[in-house]
Amino acid sequence: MTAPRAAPARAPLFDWLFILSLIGVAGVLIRIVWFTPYEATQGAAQKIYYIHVPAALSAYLALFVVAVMSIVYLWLRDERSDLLAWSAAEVAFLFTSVVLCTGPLWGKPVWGAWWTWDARLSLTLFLWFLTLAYLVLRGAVEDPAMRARFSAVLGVLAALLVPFIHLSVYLFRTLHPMPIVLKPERPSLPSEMLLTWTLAVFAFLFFCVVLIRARYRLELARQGVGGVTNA
Amino acid sequence: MPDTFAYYVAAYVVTGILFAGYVASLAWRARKIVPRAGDREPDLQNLTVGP
Repeated sequence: MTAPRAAPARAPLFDWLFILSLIGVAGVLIRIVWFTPYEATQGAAQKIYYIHVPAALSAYLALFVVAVMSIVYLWLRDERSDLLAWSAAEVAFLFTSVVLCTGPLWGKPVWGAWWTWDARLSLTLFLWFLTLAYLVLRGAVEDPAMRARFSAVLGVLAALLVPFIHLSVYLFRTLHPMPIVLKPERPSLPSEMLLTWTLAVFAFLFFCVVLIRARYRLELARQGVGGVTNA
Repeated sequence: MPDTFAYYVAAYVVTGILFAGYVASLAWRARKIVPRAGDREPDLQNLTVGP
């Protein structure tokens, strides 16, 4: 196994990039609450869309990092790629949790049901359990090389679910709405709502990347590679 | 327009709690890290009398 190369000494866990990402999320929140109109038929609940979908896309991004870094680990046996995959898996779990919490809070007033066992919802719940299994596995296997190898295989398999989840609304009869923006045709959103949604997507993706970076720096410090300061 | 304001607020509050909780957990785990040798660099060329 390759020993991790030293990171810059005393790299701060929460630096200016973290502050910038928080400002981005806060700015989008202000726009959602005060500068984006309510939708006519769903009322205020439609605004959940501005965090639900960006959180889902952020989870996809984090899982993409898990898959790529897992493959890199299996190929090169570089411990840094294993640590980065682990960091991204934890952040993917966070964003998938946001998706699974905000979805039912939209579904209850709009569908009249908190949950339904349709393809997209069930697959997303399954993905959440797989990500949880990945994190539990990390704590269950003591041998570092074996832990990294098992995790990498599970990480790749979990990430393989993402395309199925995204296409599930086309492949199966589901209650979940069809894509409103990410589809071949023009987005079915008025321009001011589309701008809010686009800004929210970029703010969440940036926040996701910054969280993965902070988690990775923390892990490097815990492994004794590069210091970390909490400021 | 239906009154769905409570669900809207709940979704944002839950999301805020999850994000804040995760950031707090990162900060908590960072606190436990023992400083490594070399993290502190006292100026040994300018020693002074303590209190």
